Amino acid sequence: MKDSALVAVENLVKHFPVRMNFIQMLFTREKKKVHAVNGVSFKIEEGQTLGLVGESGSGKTTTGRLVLKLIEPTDGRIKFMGKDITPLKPKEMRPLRREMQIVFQDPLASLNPYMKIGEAVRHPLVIHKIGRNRIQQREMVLEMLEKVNLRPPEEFYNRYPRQISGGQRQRVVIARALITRPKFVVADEAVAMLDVSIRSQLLKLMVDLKKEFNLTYLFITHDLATTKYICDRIAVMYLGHIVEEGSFKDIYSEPAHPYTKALISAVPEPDPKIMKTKKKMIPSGEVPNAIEPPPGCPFHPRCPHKKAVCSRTFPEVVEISEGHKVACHIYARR
Amino acid sequence: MNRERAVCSLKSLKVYYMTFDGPVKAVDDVSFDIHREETLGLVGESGCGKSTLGSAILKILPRTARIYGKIFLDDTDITALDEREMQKIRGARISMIFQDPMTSLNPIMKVKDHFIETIRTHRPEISEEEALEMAARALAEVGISESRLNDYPFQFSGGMRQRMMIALAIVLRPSLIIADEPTTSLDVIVQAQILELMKEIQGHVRSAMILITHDLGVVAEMTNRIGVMYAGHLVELAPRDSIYYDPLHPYTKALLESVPNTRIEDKELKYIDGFPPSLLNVGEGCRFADRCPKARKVCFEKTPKDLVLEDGRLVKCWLYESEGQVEE
Repeated sequence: MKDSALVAVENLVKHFPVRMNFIQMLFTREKKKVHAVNGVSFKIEEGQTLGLVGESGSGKTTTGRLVLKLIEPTDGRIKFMGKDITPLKPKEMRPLRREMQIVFQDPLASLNPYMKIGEAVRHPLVIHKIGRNRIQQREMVLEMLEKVNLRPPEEFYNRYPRQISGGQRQRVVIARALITRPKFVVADEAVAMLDVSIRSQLLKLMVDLKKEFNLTYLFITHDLATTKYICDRIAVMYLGHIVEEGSFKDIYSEPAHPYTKALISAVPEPDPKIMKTKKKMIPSGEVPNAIEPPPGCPFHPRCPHKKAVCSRTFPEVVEISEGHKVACHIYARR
Repeated sequence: MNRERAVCSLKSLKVYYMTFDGPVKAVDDVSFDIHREETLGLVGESGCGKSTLGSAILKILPRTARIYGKIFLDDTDITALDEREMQKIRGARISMIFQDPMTSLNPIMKVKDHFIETIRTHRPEISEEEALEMAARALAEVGISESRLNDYPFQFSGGMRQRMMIALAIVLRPSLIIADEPTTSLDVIVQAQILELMKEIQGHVRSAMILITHDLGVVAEMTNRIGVMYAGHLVELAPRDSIYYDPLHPYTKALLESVPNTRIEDKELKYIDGFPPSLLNVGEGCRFADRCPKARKVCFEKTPKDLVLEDGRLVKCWLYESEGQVEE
């Protein structure tokens, strides 16, 4: 494995136990588990952005948390800056935390309502003991607020989260994530809650900040269209597996996996002419339960190209063109 | 233009929420007609008043809301009706599909009881057996098997629940269906399934539909006409393709440009600077003026009138003052 990647995960697995009551426990021999992530591998080179796309329950958020070791993986390895961080204890992770940050979907839930914005942004500096004193830390916060376009920063410093709009709140969260000058940021549906016009502002800001601070993002989203503006590569997840990975162009104009094809054909485009001519390949039914995922390829019960082998083994990952990888038996090497 | 009599028409509808600090003008002076078999899309961002408008037609607003202006359903002005008369209309002549079906269904009532209640409230002469038959037929229309009549709402997945809501909404064949963000909480593939179903259903129920959404992709496929709302005003109303390929109002233009699309050539993302104004005690002037690249002095001073252009389109903007007629 090359060590040039900033973040690399191999065969990551996470199972959550299903909560049962006492009576159920008496009568069940085997513990039921939610198979949230089932052997995910990817690499992100420094300065690149990987988009993780999938529907609810595909395991994209769990993957994002695993990469930061906010939750412990059941199996697999996570490497950060060439170092295996899988066995590290929470305390040993601490110094690394300033290098890796996360931005969540709901800024109101991730900000303390009783804490002034400036203090919230300053908090990571206190925790990681960055800056000589309060005054210097305050300077750093003001500079950061300015960078995320909260102007004038002095005024925003003393406001409370309730007193500003949703878009501004998300800017505060981004400022707080970037104040320790991390190398790696996980953005988990960071713009999903915002309105179109505000969402575009935020995306633009994230792209600008990435250039300025040489950031590496893992951009988790359910919205394929937004990935085009920010991602270098995209990985499509379905039921805990990455089924396809490639550039936006690979995924969007030459999707290979039947699931990716379905997903793309389902995206509503803001253009009536395209909608009229678009060929729809909507699979029937819904995503199966992750407690008892289908054996073999997770998509086979809904797949129009299903073969006998699909229900037996998970397909191996094949590189069909440079950098465009797909896990589907149709493309299996003979 | 459709010359047939409108199913529903709004005449300078205003909805103000009364607060201690003054009125919040959530919907301000909105007029439009909607005809049979037509789908009207209402698009706008959060807080633009689109949901308030939908709820105003059914008169299901919180108590602090005041409705001014008129809402005609066929020939009756429903703003004048009292609560008991409104109840006869809700579910029978106008029905609503909400964003989150779980909160609009009773979790401890079986599916069949939801149907029996809806049907028998409006048509007491129908027996329970007949009502069950109607329910089974409505469920079949949305692709749910009759056997699930005995299940509870929580036993359905999100997509199936929304199908059930649609069945419940059409069982009495209303003349107007209001769908408020019907697919927003669903994943794209399920969303595509539900939209397909809604189109099909409307084809044979032949009712009028108001589709309220923030998603310009959803209305691109589903609607005949589109109304764009901004900060309580209906700023533009035009046939679908005109909105997409020949938008007039600066807000419509800016909104369309800021929607992420999937065209590979388009790498640059445009956005609208600033954010919508507070609607509390909002005064005269165009509400988009602050963010508008073409704003002039008059835009800040006087609210533009609803201008009707030659081709019947409506636009609320001073730029088109010389081209349009003021609507009465």
